[in-house]
Amino acid sequence: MKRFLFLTGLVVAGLALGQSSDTQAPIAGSPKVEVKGKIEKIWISRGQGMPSLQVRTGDKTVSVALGSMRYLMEQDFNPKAGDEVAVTGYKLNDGVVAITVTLPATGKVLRLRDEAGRPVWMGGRRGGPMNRPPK
Amino acid sequence: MNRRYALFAILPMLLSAGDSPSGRSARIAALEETFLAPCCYSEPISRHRSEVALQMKAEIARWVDEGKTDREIIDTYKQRYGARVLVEPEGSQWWWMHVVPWAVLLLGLAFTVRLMRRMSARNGLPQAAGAADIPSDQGWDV
Repeated sequence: MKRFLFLTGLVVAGLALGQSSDTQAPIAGSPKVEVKGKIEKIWISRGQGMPSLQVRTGDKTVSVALGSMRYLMEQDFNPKAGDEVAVTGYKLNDGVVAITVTLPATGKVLRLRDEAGRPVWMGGRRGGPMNRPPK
Repeated sequence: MNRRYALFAILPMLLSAGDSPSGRSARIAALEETFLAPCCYSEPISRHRSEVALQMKAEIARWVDEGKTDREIIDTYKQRYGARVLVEPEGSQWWWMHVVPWAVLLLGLAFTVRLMRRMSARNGLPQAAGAADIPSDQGWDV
């Protein structure tokens, strides 16, 4: 009887974990947008939180949140001010949370989030290293 | 009479101010100032640059659009992260943070002033009867 209960518990826990891996991140509920323009400023420094780009598009500047500094370094993502950039992302207030960032000059495409809005640099069920694209 | 009609005309506009785009933005901005980023509890999510802060901002915007009240949003985050997630504590903790330190400071000041007054009054009193006089030119033997 105890063994049966233990096995049932294991199955239920497994199902619960499996289900939670399919859940969407809250950001995925925000509208998707595309931003094309020139990088005006890059906010990348250790210990200063999530790096971001200031992208000049037309007559306005949009802030684009990227992802973990460590992940950007792993992916060898090294944008320069003045570079052209194309970003797809989720609109959040006045800014954009990047899903992919493309640097046409170098052909570099950086994927930061999966289809459910989960960051690809996060471990475990929230994105996981297994979701990471190859360098 | 015209003023009264004007008030009736303005009232619905005032009541719906929260639903207007600027009212919505102001409400979202205020809510973003209400919560600390639960990754380090050091900054409100409005300023913090982390994944969890971004996700919370997205959630708040969605919940505001869905018609959730501020109270419901606050309670949801309190349930998820604990009361520590609030920038300003609620209930008795608010009193401990904002009132008690000032009250203790004022009491301390009052006590100090009273003590100093009493000490200065005691120094000014004439010498008690029977006490030995010490001549003013007599120094202490060291």
